[in-house]
Amino acid sequence: MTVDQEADTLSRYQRVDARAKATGATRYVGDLSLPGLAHAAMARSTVAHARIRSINVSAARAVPGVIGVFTAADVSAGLYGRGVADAPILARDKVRFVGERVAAVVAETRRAAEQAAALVEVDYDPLPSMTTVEQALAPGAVPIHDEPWRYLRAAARQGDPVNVVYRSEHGSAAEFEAAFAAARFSVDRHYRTQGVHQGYLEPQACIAAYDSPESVRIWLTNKAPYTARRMVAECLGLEMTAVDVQPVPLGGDFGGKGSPQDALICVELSRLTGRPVKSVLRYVEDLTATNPRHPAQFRVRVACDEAGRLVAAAISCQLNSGAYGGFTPNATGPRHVVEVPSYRVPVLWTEMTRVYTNTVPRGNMRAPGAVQGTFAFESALDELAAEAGIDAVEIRRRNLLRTGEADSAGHTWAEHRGIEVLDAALAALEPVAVPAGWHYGRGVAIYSRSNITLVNMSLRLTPVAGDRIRAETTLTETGTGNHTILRQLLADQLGVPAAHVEVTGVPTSELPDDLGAGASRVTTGLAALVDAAAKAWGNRSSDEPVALHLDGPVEPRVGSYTVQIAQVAVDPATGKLRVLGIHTAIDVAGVVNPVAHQLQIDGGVMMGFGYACLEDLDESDGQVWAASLGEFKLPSARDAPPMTTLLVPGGIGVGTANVKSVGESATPPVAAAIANAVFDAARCRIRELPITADRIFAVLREQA
Amino acid sequence: MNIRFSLNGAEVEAGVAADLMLVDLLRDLGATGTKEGCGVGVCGLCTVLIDERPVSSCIYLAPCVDGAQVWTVEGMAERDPAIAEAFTRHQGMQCGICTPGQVMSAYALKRDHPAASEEEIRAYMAGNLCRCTGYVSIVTAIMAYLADE
Amino acid sequence: MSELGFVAPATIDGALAELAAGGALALAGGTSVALLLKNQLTETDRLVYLGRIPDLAGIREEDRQLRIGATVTLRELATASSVRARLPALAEAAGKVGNPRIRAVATVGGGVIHGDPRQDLPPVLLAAGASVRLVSKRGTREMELGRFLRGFFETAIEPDELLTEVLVPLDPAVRCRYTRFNAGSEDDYPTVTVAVSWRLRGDGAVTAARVVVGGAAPTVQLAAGAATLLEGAVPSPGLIARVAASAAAGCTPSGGGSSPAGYKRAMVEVWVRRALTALSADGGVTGSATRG
Repeated sequence: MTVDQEADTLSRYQRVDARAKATGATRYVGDLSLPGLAHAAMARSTVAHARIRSINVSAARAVPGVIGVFTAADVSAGLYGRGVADAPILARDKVRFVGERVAAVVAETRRAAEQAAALVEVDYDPLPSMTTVEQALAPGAVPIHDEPWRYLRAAARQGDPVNVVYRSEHGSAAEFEAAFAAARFSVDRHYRTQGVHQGYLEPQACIAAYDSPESVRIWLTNKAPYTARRMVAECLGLEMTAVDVQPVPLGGDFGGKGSPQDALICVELSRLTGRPVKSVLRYVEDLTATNPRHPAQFRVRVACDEAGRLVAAAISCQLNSGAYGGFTPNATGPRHVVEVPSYRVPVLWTEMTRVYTNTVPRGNMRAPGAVQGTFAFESALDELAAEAGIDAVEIRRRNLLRTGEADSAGHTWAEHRGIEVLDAALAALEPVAVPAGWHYGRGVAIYSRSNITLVNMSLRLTPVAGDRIRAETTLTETGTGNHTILRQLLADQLGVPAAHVEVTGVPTSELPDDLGAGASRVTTGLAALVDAAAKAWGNRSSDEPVALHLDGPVEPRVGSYTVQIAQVAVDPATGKLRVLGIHTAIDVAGVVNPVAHQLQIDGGVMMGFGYACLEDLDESDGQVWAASLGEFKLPSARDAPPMTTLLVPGGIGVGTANVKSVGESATPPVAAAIANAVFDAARCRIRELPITADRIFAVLREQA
Repeated sequence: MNIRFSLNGAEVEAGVAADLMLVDLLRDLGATGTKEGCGVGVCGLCTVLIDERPVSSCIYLAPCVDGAQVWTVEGMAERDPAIAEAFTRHQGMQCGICTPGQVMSAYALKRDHPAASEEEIRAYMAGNLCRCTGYVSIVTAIMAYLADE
Repeated sequence: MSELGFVAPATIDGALAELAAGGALALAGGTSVALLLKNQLTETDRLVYLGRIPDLAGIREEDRQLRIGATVTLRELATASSVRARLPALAEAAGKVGNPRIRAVATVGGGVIHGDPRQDLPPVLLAAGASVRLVSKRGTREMELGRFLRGFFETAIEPDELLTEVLVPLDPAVRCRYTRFNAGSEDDYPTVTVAVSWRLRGDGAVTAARVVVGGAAPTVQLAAGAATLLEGAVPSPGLIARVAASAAAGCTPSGGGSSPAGYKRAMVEVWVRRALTALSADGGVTGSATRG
């Protein structure tokens, strides 16, 4: 490509918000202010499980600048949650995790609020704390929630074992046992994944202005403003139309900004003080007390015949859900953790238990469940291949689904391109230089996902002077570039230059509804939405704005495959792991913005690498010990392994733009690809994440 | 106490508590382009220049800036617009929250190592974390900036 | 609650007067102090800023010594031509610390009085035989660095004392090397650090060897047995292996994070061996015998 052609490509795909971000002009929630603004800070529990005997706020109240100090008695007793509504605004009668909010301070300055929060004294009556899944499920375990089946939208059932948020089972255990016992080759393995945080770099923040019971304005670091509106209204007994969530850009989300966090308490504080109230978390609060990814433990049993064809698989998974279940969109939690989307498995039995523990409540994080589950299953598949004496690539080729076959959940996708992507990935793999004395290894892992696009989005198009169009969207720009994608789709479909389309977010009061950004539904949803908008725009008879809301499933069930090949080197003397390259092949259809699309892949792979090798919240005794970014290690530019991408075009997508999703496709296979490569390099099978030098070294020592 | 310093080329006077951090002073003065992320000097979101040195303003005491020249991302937009241009053209960001810090460190990098290789760029920029991009487009933008494209 | 004070004296005497009055906390770059303040871990009533005292800055070569002012930044140390020429291992270590922002602000003095066993500078300084100069209204004293670093985040400095200089002997016959090993992220404190130095005799034997290990004990440690084993011997792979084993046996690592104690001990052995092997492969004194 010539310099001119490249410049042309780059400017065509430039983001609508890039320049403002590069010049520091973009204003995030933390940058905003209102006249009369007061500041909030939270006093948080220092114990994992206890009854609250009393709370003494007198010292806190005496700090100069403090406007008020409030406890559960002062605020609504309503419970909130995205799915199950089991969380209180402030701890009432008992605390269930270290870091739970027990009191809230409002002051003239943030400094005064924090000083006062540190002076709140709580008298606790300790209860037995169950900080691991094993403890929470053990006979005689104390219930963390007395009757969880009674909560609104609960998935727990009366008669479930104590401390179960949700339990599900699919398939026949008996059928599985029979097929497994009769199989030629089989493995039975346990895997564990650690607690990790989404690592968005913008701390969570909120400003709430309770003007009256009919007018509450909220600015919130949240990617689903209509869901936040519903939760605020529901929990505080307000009319939905009274709550108006304002449009803001986010400094990263990755699933961590779907819960209302401080919105509920800030609305109450604003009501109680008559002032707009702002809360900005310190990062230690983000890391220890928001809603990180579910740690998981697995038992995977998988068997094949003499030709390597899978005959049976069983996945049993326990998820540590933390103190509350309401931080995931559904009480059922990240069900992808026990799915096997890519392969033909004649007999599949799965069992998933989401467990309450006295630890930080867990939420969603990029590819929830799939990241944990793919590590477990793709590792087990390699172990089975070794057991059967079959090449790890070959066993996959023999079992990947082909177009027309139903997956193990009974769904039929538009296409299955796994084998094609696998072959393309292998063909495009470049060799890497291996440091002298290190052992080289290569590992493969495959991930796929499919969904019926569930659109729930609104859009309003208004003609503006000079042949321009204002496009008002309900979508929060979380950082993925969705506003830019929307602009491009509109420009393409309406036949106008992109520069003539201005995309702007609007408050929730302006447009009907939106399910929120996430779940890889945005680009495909926008494709369907813009198709409908273009039609409506083409049919318009006046210069009035065209507003539409699209709701419902959009066929076909579109899927995509990701094949990753990790190349690694292990220093046998130290166990140190160097990832020499991660090669990612993805099947794509129409790509709206190749630059933004590639960024999703790059960022997704990097997040997978951090998960595989570096990140660990280091939880024990109910505490998160990696309580700063100095200890919770996100990959740096220097840690970053070389990454290559191969896009395999020609797929079936959604809408005229023919798009597939990509946001969550690149993260799940990384950990298994690296674990499989480490086994290839050093005959070390690491079944617990992260894959660290000391773990590899311990296995090497044992072998010696 | 009262301090006086130059902020993006303009003289500023401010009354500050002894333990006020520079990032809070800058944001109180309206320069909200500089962000606080981790709060412990690790993530680089709060990077500013003090007498041309890159500094974590979240762990820099405001009184120490008395008499110094401070530059933030807003000032850099005027002073060296090529950086913002490179990050815009090569999409060296997604959510943008780390971008002000990346821009400030990129300026310092060019001053210190104008001919840096990709490896040297990554080593220098390792103190500016990004969770969105995987760093590839940031490095591309910086290489373009170094090459005066 | 009275307000925290802030003073910025222009001379060492001015700073000493503040420290003698009590209740004061000195800061240079201020990164450690800022974190103490943010975490509410100090009850000081007055901050004493040392950044305006010219006599605490600067690097001088004098009487076969490198005299490093307490407020010299790591960046200055890493780029100073005198240091790069005379003690390149020290410049290299300074250049490895943290990131450019830390190096621009953090000072040599501030680092040394922090007493963190994971830091990069103290092992090299100890291997080079450094000492510190401590000044107060009561007088001046010099102390070998090994004695100064007393325990885990604990040094021998008195509350009314200022560390004014780090003094490093310069002996052109001394070879010194610094290595750090990060088991995980490269942008993290090292898992273990190793600094080694010795003087080569004309016959190829070594003398005055120092093997220093960091990150594997409450303080940076001089491996005493190592010096004895190496004294007067010609380094060979077998001898180096014995020295490394001795150093590993002598350290007292605590577990924590992703590096359990046993792993650290094993890494001490590996990296002492590697550091000594590299040191013996370095060009030695002109005319010396070859080594394996």
